[in-house]
Amino acid sequence: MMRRMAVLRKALDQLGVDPRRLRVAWISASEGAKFAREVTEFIEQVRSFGPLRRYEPAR
Amino acid sequence: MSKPKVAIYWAAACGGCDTKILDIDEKILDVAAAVDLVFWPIAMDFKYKDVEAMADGEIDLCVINGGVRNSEQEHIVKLLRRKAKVVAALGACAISGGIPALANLHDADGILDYVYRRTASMESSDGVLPQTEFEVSEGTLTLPAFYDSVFAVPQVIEVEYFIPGCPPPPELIAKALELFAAGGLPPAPAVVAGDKSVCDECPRQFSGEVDVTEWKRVANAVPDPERCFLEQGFICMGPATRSGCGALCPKANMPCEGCMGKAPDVLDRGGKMASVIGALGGAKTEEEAERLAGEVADPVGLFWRFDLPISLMKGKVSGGQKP
Repeated sequence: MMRRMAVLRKALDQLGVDPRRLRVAWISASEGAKFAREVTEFIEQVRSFGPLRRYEPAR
Repeated sequence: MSKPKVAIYWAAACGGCDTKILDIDEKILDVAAAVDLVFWPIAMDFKYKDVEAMADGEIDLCVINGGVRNSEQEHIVKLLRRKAKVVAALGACAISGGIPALANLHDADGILDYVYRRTASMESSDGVLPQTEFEVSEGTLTLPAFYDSVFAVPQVIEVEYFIPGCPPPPELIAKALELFAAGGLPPAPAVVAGDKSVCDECPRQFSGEVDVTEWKRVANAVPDPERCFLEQGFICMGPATRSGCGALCPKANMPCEGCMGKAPDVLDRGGKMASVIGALGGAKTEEEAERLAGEVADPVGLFWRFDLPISLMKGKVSGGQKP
């Protein structure tokens, strides 16, 4: 998993996507509180970056 | 019974697909005898107004190569769509954007500014950029509008048939034209190529054990001509690329670059290859994984070389990050 993510992160960086927008966390189904914490923190972080924009088709 | 009418157009193209049509050698004589070529800018002197004068659907087959990156190309492919019963996209650029679509890593302002003002060989004291309109005493001169993105033809008009490759192998072009002339094209939409990946046609030996410790490049090392490239540490696009070319490049000791387009059932080629390349690397730690990923010199330029506009990302994005 981490091997694929390392390559993907490099490709996304070339495409202008901040590498912090991709996160991998190992959380067991029994770690509910940890899951909630990770997701909330991640969403707040990504929201603070603002939206991605792609050129509007000029047609 | 009159001969079927065929039009061939080049949009954002290099000319390779048009010359590949001529590479079907003496079969071109059979084609010329069997059909009526009514428009082919590289070879014949018909004008846009000749196409405009045709009735809708009058052209039996319109073959389009090249992608759409300016307003003229968009206008003409839409015009040809109206005048044609069947449209075939020939080559990687028409089908999925092709090499010119790597320009989707930039926008129109950036490209025009670089080309017309900042290249080393450009003397641009006045900083002039091409304009879409310019008044002279004789009237108004016009140029097509340059878009921010390159589009694949199916993103602009409906396309029935796809003949992939960069350029397509002449055997596939000949097959498509022969099927058309005999009225035997399969039900649309259809791809005139193989339905597996290039690995299926590749004669190289694969031992089944892959644990790449270092990604090599053909610029720096010579591959063993008998063994699978990936096994040796050379990145090859074969696993995610459609078959039909006979694995020409691997047979010439060059890894597949993926010009035949994405293999069937691949959603996003770059995503698939990131997965393939990541998985093949023999990293046991995060540091190792980062090192191996760092050895992939240009993931976007390789994994999406021929199909950036039809990928999930479509090109470079802006915004969405904090410094």
